[in-house]
Amino acid sequence: MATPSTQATVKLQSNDNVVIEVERAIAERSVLIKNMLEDCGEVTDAIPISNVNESILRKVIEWCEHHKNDPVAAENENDDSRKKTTDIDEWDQKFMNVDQEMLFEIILAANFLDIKPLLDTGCKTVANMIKGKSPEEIRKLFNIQNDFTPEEEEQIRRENEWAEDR
Amino acid sequence: MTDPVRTLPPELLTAIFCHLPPNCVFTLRRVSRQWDCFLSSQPLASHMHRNLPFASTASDLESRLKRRARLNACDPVSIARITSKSYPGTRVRDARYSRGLLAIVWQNNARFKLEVWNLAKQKQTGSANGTQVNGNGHYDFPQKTKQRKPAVSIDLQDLFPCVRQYATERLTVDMELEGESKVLVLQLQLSGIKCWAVLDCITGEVLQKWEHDLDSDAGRMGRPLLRSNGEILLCVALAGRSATYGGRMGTLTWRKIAIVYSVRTGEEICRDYYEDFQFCRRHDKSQCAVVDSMGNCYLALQDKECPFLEVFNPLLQNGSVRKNRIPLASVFATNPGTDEENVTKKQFYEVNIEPVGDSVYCTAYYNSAEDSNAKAVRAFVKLPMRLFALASHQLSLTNHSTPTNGHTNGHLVSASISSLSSAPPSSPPPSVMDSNGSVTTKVSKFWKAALTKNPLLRSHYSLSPPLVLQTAVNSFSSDPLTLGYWGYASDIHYDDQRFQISLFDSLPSDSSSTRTSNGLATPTTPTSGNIPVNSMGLPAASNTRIKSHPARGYERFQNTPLAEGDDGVLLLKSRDVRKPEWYVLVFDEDWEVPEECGLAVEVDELEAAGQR
Repeated sequence: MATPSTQATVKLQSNDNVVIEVERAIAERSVLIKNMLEDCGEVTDAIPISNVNESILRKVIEWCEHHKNDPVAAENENDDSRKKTTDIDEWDQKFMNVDQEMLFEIILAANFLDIKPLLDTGCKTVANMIKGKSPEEIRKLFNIQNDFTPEEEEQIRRENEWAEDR
Repeated sequence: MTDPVRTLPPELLTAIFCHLPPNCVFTLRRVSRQWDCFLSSQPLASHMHRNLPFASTASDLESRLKRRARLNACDPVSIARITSKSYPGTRVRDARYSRGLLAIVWQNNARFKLEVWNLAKQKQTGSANGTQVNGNGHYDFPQKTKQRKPAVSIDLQDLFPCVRQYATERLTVDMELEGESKVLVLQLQLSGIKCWAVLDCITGEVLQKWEHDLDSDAGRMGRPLLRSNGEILLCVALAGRSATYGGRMGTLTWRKIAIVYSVRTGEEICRDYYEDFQFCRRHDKSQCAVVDSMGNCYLALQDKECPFLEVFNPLLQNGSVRKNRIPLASVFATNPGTDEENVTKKQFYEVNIEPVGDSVYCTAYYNSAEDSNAKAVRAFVKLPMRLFALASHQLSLTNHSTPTNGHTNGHLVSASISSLSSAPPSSPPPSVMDSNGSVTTKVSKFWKAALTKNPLLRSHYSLSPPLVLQTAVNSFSSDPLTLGYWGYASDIHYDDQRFQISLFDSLPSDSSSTRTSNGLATPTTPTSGNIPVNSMGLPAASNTRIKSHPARGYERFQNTPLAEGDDGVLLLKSRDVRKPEWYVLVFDEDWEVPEECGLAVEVDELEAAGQR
């Protein structure tokens, strides 16, 4: 492993070739970047974030800046501990109040960059959108075409009727 | 607008759906073919099945949710009365159910027989038309239904020949079916002798047996509680002791005692006396004591000051057994400041400890002793098993331990806790559901202290964080046994990411109140009588007949107060003291009561027995 670096900022390059300079502590909210920096030591070149475009990268950095003082979750903490609730912090709710496409992009970016709390917030946001809605409402929400025949849909409904809330 | 199922990879979709109630895996299949394909996938269902907070004996998510739905609707797949058709005059002396095993002691005149039945349905083998290919390549005609045999069948007089010389009419039979470790603990008691045995419920092997006469300490015990994990036997009882006054033998005095025996050798490993304590009682009024699969013994005790849970492992230490004490208020704490400061004021009416898998499930029914008008609280806590053992071990080893009264080896963990930092752990605190049903995140000082000190604990804690549920009940006027037990049995359910607890099943039919979904009683107009409500707190639409009766007319016989809703079977005993009848309600299609030990009955017979 390289010797620990003291550099204050790092450069991140989005897949549309925009370079953004951020505080190292903020960038290190991403486990991917943190590990990379630890392995490479001093990094002067921009780190390519190949799966994330500029607008999403800026959004992710915004989230990291806001949460830079949050305690880092234990390394072996798995998903279970975060499943108990769909409660989302007020700031995060506003942050996630974006169009669906961007929301999914943020989730994908959080997954790629290995930012578990952001990923979790994104997943909870989508879960909250789905929660309590009927299949028809979900189709409408996500603009999904019902590709079942009426007979097929009725059959699936009957097969799973037992699971309906009564 | 974008379809998440088309946009996101399966692992992220799984993460999203794990934030939703598990029934959505089935109800949302008709959104589109792609949704149907993803939601029908085995990995998703398995993941959700594994990660739901309650233990379950169900094979998969679908059967788990189906059995719970049936239980909530009081709609069993089948009802059977335990009866021996083959032998007239045979009656059920005792029965127990746990984790798919049904143990029955039959009595026919002076003969006693123990049987243990596996309720898992026997899978059909062979081709669809019922013919099978034998080893010679020829088809065999389907045979008549093969008679099922019990996993264990033992004549108790053969097991304990010494019993033959006594008049067995006065024989007392007690048993504990330890479904988790698949062992059965049996005790026969006559005036002059006590016989204990630990049996393997799978192989039928007698792992160990003891015969105690009046010359031994065990022989002079009152009716002890015996628990085992197959390796050790924990015996908790009142033991008689001769006292001498002025050189003359006086009457017996009684001491509370806990003894641990090795099942392998039969020898005593350790014992302790509890002169100044009372045993906390379980729902069935027996002592609250249990042994988990790791050999940890849990014993709930109460002195004048502080009810606590004593945890020790007689297998780990050489020589002296280190005993550690966790205040019960810390185990059940949801409000760190008040709960633990008021620890001495709490009065625990009922404490149940049950190890299931790698978790310890604890329920309690308590109130503030100072304020008789305060609402009683039912609390439910699920904790990782290793957390208990490690926390108590670690704290007592590394901090200022205080020897406790009557315990030379004892260490009061609470004394250590107060000296530790109360800084929050980096891992998440437990989810707590308050009486209004909202989920909050609070953690007791005990766990904070334990986690702060020990990274190993932190890892267990984060892998399986404690789950705490609480619900308030407004008075003790109802039978506490039935109220809490039955309420928890059927009504913990998972909805909208919250666990709702309602107690409607326990209400007598002439009650003037109904329960809301968060367990609080709300008055109704007197003319409304009993309005059965479903687990959502809404009026129940169908089949309320069974719902209201079992709680009134039956006693529950089940070892696990917490996994009940997920266990698929309820064992009921009618309260007819002269001729009690035993019924098994099966809520899972994969389970059945074999004809050889149970007679299928209709709802009417169950109701009639309950009303007698």
